[in-house]
Parts: sequence; C-alpha cells; structure tokens
Amino acid sequence: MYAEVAIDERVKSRNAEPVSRGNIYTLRRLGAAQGGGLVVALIGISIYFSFMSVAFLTRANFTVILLQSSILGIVAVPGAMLLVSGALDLSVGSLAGLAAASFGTFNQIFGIPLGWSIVLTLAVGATWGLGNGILVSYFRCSPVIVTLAGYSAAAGVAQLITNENTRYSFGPAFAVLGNGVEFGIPVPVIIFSFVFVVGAYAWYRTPIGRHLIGIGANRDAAMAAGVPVSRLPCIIYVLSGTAAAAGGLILTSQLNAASVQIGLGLELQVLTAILLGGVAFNGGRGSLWGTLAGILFIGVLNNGLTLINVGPYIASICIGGALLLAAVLDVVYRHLENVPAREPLIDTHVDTQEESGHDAPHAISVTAGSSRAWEGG
Amino acid sequence: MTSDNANEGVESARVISRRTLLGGMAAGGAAVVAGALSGTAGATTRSATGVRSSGLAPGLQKFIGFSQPDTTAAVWPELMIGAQTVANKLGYTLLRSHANSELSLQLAEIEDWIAEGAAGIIVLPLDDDAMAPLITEAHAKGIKILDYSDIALKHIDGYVIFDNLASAKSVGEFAGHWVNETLGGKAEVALFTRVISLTCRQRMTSINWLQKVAPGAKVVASHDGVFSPQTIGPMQSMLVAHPNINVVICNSDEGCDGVLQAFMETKPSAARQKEMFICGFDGSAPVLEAIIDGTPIRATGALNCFAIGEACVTATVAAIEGKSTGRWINFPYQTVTYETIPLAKQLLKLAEET
Repeated sequence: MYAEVAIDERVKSRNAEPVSRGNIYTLRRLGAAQGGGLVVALIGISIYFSFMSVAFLTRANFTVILLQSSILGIVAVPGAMLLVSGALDLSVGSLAGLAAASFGTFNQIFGIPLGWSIVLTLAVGATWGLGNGILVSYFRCSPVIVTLAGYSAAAGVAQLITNENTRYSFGPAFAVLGNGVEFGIPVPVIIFSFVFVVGAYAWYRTPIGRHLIGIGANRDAAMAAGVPVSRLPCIIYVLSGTAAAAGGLILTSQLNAASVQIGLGLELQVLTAILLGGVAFNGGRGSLWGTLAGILFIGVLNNGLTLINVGPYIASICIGGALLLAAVLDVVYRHLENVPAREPLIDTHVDTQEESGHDAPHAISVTAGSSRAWEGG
Repeated sequence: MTSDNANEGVESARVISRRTLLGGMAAGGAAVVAGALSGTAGATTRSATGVRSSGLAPGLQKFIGFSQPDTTAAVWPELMIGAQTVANKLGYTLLRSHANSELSLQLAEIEDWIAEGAAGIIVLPLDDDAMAPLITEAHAKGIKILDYSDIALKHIDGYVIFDNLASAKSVGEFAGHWVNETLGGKAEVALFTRVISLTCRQRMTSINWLQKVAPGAKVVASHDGVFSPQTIGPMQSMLVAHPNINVVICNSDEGCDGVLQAFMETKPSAARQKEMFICGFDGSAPVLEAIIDGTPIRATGALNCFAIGEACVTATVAAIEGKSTGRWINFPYQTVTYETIPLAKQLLKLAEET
C-alpha cells in the first residue's frame, strides 16, 4: 500500500513497460556524465594548468585553491540540499554581507565582546533563514520570489545599519577565523571540511538525503509517505542562512574589514557550483559529491586563469560554457528518462520497517527514491 | 433561512473574512513600508518640494539630484556630508542616489529627477555615452545637469573633474623612486585594474610613470578588481605564481586591504615586508591609517572627498543660478605617502570628523 502511494506515476509507467539494457546503460552513462564528467573536466583543466604554470602543482597553490573555495563550499552544502528538494536560496550573498555588517556593528558600535558578536551574527543568518523557510515551506510562497526579496532586503539592511561605513580592525583573535592555520591547514578549509562531512553524512547515511530527494521528485508522494515536507526544507533554510553568515564572517576575518561588498555575487557562484555538480534545477536528483566537484571546478578555473594571467572575463566565459553543457546534459537526461522501459528499472520490493531498520515512511521513500539512486542521488 | 442559504452565508463570511484578512495584510504591509520610508526620510529627503528660489525656471523645484553610483565606497560618507553641508547652507534639498553601480538604475533615477523637476542634477556617470539622451531631456525641461569624476561630457552645464592623470603621474613616479632606492631598480609589479572605467584606466597610467623612472620594473600579473573581496583571492593566486611580487598598484583604495591581507597571509619576514609597496587612489580612511601605521601600503592619490562634495553642490548651484564662473572645477589630488605622515594624519582627522 505504501509503495502505491510513494511511487509516482512516471515510475509506475516505467515499471509497466520494459526497457532495453542498452537504454539503462545509456541512462547510467549520462548520469555518470553529469556528476563524474565534471570530475574528468576538473582533472583535465588541472593537467592543462599544470603545463601552463609551474606554480599550479604545488602544495601552496592547492592550499590557496582550497582556501578560496572554502567559503563557497560552506554555503553550497546546504544550498545543494535545498536545490535537490526543489527549493533554492538566492539571498545567501546578501546575507553574507548583512552578516559582515551586523558583526561590525555588534562589535564596534555596541561594544559586544567578540564571541558574542559572532554568535549574534550567526543568529542573524539563522533567523533570516528561518523567515525564508517559513514562507517557502509553510506558506508555500515561491522560493525564487522569497529569496530574491531577501537578496534585495538583506543588502539594504546591511547598508542601513552600517550607514554605508566599513568597520575595520577587529584584532588578532578574530583574524584566526579567516587567516589561522591549524595542523598546517587553513581554518576556513577545516570549517568547510567539517561542514561537508556533516552534510555528506546527513545526505548519504541518514534518511535526510533521501527525504530531500523525495520532496524534490514528488512532494505530494513524499508527504503521503510521511516525509516532513515542510519542516525539513525549513530546517535546511535555517542552515543555509547560518552558513551564509559564517561565510560572511570568515571573509570579514580575512579582510579584517566588515565591508558590505562582502558576499557580492556569492549566490550565483553557489548556484553555479551546485548546478555544475549535476543537481537538477527542479530538484529530485543530484549528489553532494557532484557539488564538491562543482566547487573545486570553479576554484581551480579561477585560480588557474589568474596564474596564467588571463583576465577574469575568460573565467566567466568558461564557467558559463560548462554550465550550459550541464544544462544540455540535464535536458538530454530528462528526455531519456521518459524512454519506455522493457524491464523493471526499479526494485518493486517494499522495504519494510523491520528490514530497513528505519521508520516506515522513510522505508517507503527509500523505495521510491531508489529509482533515482543510479542518477547520482 | 434554508441550510443551503446558511452554508452560502458561512461561505460568504469566509470569503469576506479572507478578503478582510488580505486587505488587512495589504494595509499592514503598506503601513510597514510607509513607516520604513518615514524612518529613512532623512536619507532620501524628497520632502521640500514646492519651495522655489527666485532664480529657478517655472516648474522647477529647489532640489538637487546627486548621483554617486556606488554608495558602498569608503569615500561616500565624506562626499555626501560635504555636499549636504553646502546644500543646507544654500537652501537646497539634496537627493541621493542608490543605484549601487547598476547603470539601468542610475539612468532610471536621473529620469525620475528630471520628471520631478529638479533644479539641477550632478552625476558620476557609469556610462558616459548613456548620459547623452538624459542631458538633452534635462535641457528640454530647463534643468541644469553636471558631471563629476573623469571627463566633461558634451553639452554639460558644468563639471568637477578629478585630475586622475596628474595623480597617476605623481603616484607612479613615487613608486618608481621607491623601486630604485629600495630594490635597486628591479621589481615585479601586479596591477588591479577596471578596464570599463575611464577613471581607473587613467589611474592605471601610473605604471607607465613607474617604468619610466624604474625601467627594471616588470608587470607580471594583472587582474580586474576594485573592492577587497574581489582582490584578495586573485592576489593569493598571484603570489603563488609570482612569490616575488613587490609592487602592487590598485585602481582604488578599496582594493588595497584585500591585497595587503593576501600578502600578510604568506607570513612574510620583516625584510620581505620592507620590500613590498602597495598603493591605491582615493585616500580612504583605512588606507591613510595603514600608511601612518607603516604597513606595506605606502602611498595613495588622495582626494579630499568632503571638499569634492562641497564643490559638486557649489558648481551645480552656480549653474542653476546662471553664473558663468564657479561651475567648471578641476579638482586636484594630493599624493599621500609614508614620507608625508602629517598630511595623512590631517586627512584622516578630517575623515573621522565627518
């Protein structure tokens, strides 16, 4: 009974008609192409840059690439979770700027101690994220409109509270956040690694990842299966806001200045990294590993082009080209998804609570989601 | 009343209630927006309409539109305080710009001011060519329009032009002498440019003067970037590719901090720090402070932004009142270096006071 509820109509029709082995392999290859293909492209451009600049294949440069990618990565992990569930957050860039402005105001205008200023700044991001989450998840407002409004409003609030003055000089203790090194690894890279590991654990080892994919694939089916279709994305929005605030704080620490310019364009970089990594714009398909590849692709491309002294416009063209290719692959992928099947694509076996060791609704969503497991989810 | 009618009544009540709710929400939203606008009225000040001065053409109101396209620049507060001070003194209301470097917003804003019948408009154009139709439109309505920054636009009623080229020469030559004295005439130079901006292109001619004084200085890397968040990443990469970069010229002081932070991340020795020269333009407070503190930021082409703000309004009012003098102003830079600390302190004090 659960299976009937959880499996969407497309999956049903796919089960009803057979698919050739060839088509399955084509689909799998394309699935791999979107996630794994980026890794191949990443290796390709790395080889190219290593030939073009002797400085590329050095430990110092890898550290710089990771350092430059870390803020993008911290924000992209919850961003990918949102996108795979069919939502998105366009306000992260402005939120990072608002976080910088708030921190400067808390610390230098109100004289709040450093630790509390950081906590309050993260709370600002979380609260903004909660507002986004409530509007999108519970009031069913369009995520594009809500977060676009946030994009505009957060930037305005940042300028208002700073009176358009950049606060600077926050002292050596705060500098550790952006410029510190522990065990030979820059602190922002450690923070990003932690965020990614926690995100990957949640995505792949807990029901959260499959629930998010389920919500993105078919919200009604996921709801019928007992997936918390409102609460879960709302929580991810809170995490997204917090991550954006953390990103803003790290950049403030690196610059030792709370400029409202911080975070400018971050939302597009985050979205680009996620989409390059193969997460479908409409949700329901994608992987966090692909997102990691997307983050590193952008980091390596920007770094490599600077090393060989090519202007930033070329980097923009290259990233645009890669994104376009990802979009075309996505269309081809969705088209092939509808090719009639001659043999069952999914396992119609219903994973019971006892077998899976999870709650029943989750077990059903696993079955529904398993049709997409080979797609990179 | 039948049960159907009763149901209709309930349904109708629900509809009305929903409408009332939506109406209430709309009214609440409008109240919030109105409250926010009244709270920030001091910032945008569009209130003094209808007040006429004797020198104004019929239909023109006594306000001046001041279109500085980037309100996040460190120079913005000083500029606006200078402008506001003179505007208050001369009895004009000043309308500020909030275009934030978006050309379409800047053009729309100027069109609004023309439609509202401003007495005068002074603008730092994001695109010089795009201003031509607006100048014609303003003149058709008897509105005076001026520009400030890098070039005198055609058919303009006045200007405040910064002497970018002279400052580029002064800063570039100073950097060249520093290279000769400190590095024996050889240096690896990195540039942070912004090719679409004439001001930035003019400022970057400083590299020509540097190389004229120190021919051994070679440009090894260049990148587009104005603000520190845009310069820190590229500078990190540049320092990997060229660890011996020892001169960095930024098109604006806004980028110097990012360059300095990227350099300091490499944990340079005291000797290496002494062999680093970072410079910019504008004379922003953080950069003046960095020069005074003896950091590798060693020079800036400083503009007295308060005085520029004053000059912009003075010139606009002179144009509005039809005066032939006082509306064409060439504004000089002052080269501030680690050798002119008293000047740096004086400008910093002025910045802090405003």
